[in-house]
Order: sequence, then structure tokens, then C-alpha cells
Amino acid sequence: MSELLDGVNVLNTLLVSVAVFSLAPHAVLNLVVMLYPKSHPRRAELRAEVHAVPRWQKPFWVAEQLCTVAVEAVPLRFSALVRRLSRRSLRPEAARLQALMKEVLSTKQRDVLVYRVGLGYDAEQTAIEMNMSVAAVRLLQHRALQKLRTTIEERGYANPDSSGDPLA
Amino acid sequence: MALLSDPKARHWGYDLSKKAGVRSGVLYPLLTRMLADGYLSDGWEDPADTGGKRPPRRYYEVTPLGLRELGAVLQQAKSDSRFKSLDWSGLQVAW
Repeated sequence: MSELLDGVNVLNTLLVSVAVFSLAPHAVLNLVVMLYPKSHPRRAELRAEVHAVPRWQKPFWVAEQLCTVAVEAVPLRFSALVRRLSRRSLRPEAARLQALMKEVLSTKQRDVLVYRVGLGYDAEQTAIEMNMSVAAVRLLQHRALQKLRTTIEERGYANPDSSGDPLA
Repeated sequence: MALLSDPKARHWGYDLSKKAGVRSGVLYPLLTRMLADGYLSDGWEDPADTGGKRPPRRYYEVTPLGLRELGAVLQQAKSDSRFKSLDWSGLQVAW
């Protein structure tokens, strides 16, 4: 008897799922894309793309997006969570420096510091990784550090544990 | 192949998945990687073109770098016996 009831429950769930997917694919999609981070362009892209899908294919297409989300959005969310947690565990001055780097340096300048300072690569290895000349790497690094120092001086960065310059 | 069948055109996600016969779960991460590598550029449809009836769609265009790189990959594939069964006639591009 209980097996029969279980069977009916499974059937009900299946029917409800089919009904929701077929009658309200847009609503389901709106829920599904919310797994992407807020600013991610895929949110708007999938919401717009569903309008191009023929009506009878929409439920299947929306169901397919569950796979897209699992492959793309879930890892993004996970890495964002890890980043947030690791940022929380940083000492305040390190977190401030990280924020400053993000604010004043370009992506390339940050990358060069990650390779040179973070990973300890020499200029030649960094040049290979970044697909640029050694001279360009040195110049980029020099300018990045210069920019950081200037900004710190201008803003009167005060680090209670050191002389005030975290780059010293 | 779907991208290079009309390299100067704007390509849309759903159409690409249909043309290429690739599921969205594979296609979209692939497009993201190609964007990051500089093979594609993207943009959004002009809202005026949609007539306000639907949200603007995101399109993808093949960059000159993408044309070169993807073209080279296709040239290699063309000479590979494993891909002989593919229909190459749609590709009339000199990359």
C-alpha cells in the first residue's frame, strides 16, 4: 500500500513538474538564472534568448538551462563564496591593500604583481605567462608599484603595525 | 563551423546551439572561454529593434583573431580523416 502511495506521489510530482515547465517556462527560467551572480550577463542573455525558442521547445530548452547553470553558475557562486570567505580572513590592512590594488591598478598591473610578488616568478617567467616582453613586464611592475605607493602617500595610509607603507 | 559559416554575422546563443548541434550546457561555457581568449566579441541588440516586446538579446561576433585561430583549427580538422563525414560545403570563407 505504501509503495502504491509512494508511486502516486512520484507521479504527482512528475506531473506538477511537467505542468510548471510547460505552462510557465519563463517563470522557471527566471528562477534558474538567479543562480548566476547578479551582474553576470548570462542572466539577461538567457532571459532574452528564451523568446527566440519556439513555443513547443521552450520547456525542453529551459530544462537544458539547468545543465548550463550547473556547469557555469554553480562554480561561479562557489568561487565567489570562497573569495568572500578568504577576504574576510585577511588582516584589515591586507584587505585594504587588496581593495586599493583593485581600485587603482589595471588588470595587467595586478596580474604582473601576482606573478612577480605573489608567485615569486622572475621577470622572464612572468613575460612568458603574460605573453609580453621582459622589458614590458619590468615597466608594468614598476608603474604598478609606483602607482600604489603614490596613492598610499596621497591618502595617508596608516598601518598601525608598520611604518605606514605596506610595500616597504 | 557554425561561427565560421558566416564569420561577419552576429551570432545568437540559441541559433548557434541549433546550428552546431551543441547543447546549451556545453555551448555557453565554450562561448565564455572564446570571449576570454579574444576569439569572439559580444554586444547587446539595440532595444529599438526589439519593439519593446522582448528584452534585447546578446550577440557574438568573430574577431579577426578568432577568424585566424578558428580557421586554423578547421583547416586541421578538414585534413583529419575523423572529420571527413562532416559537411564542409557551408564554409566558403577564405580565412
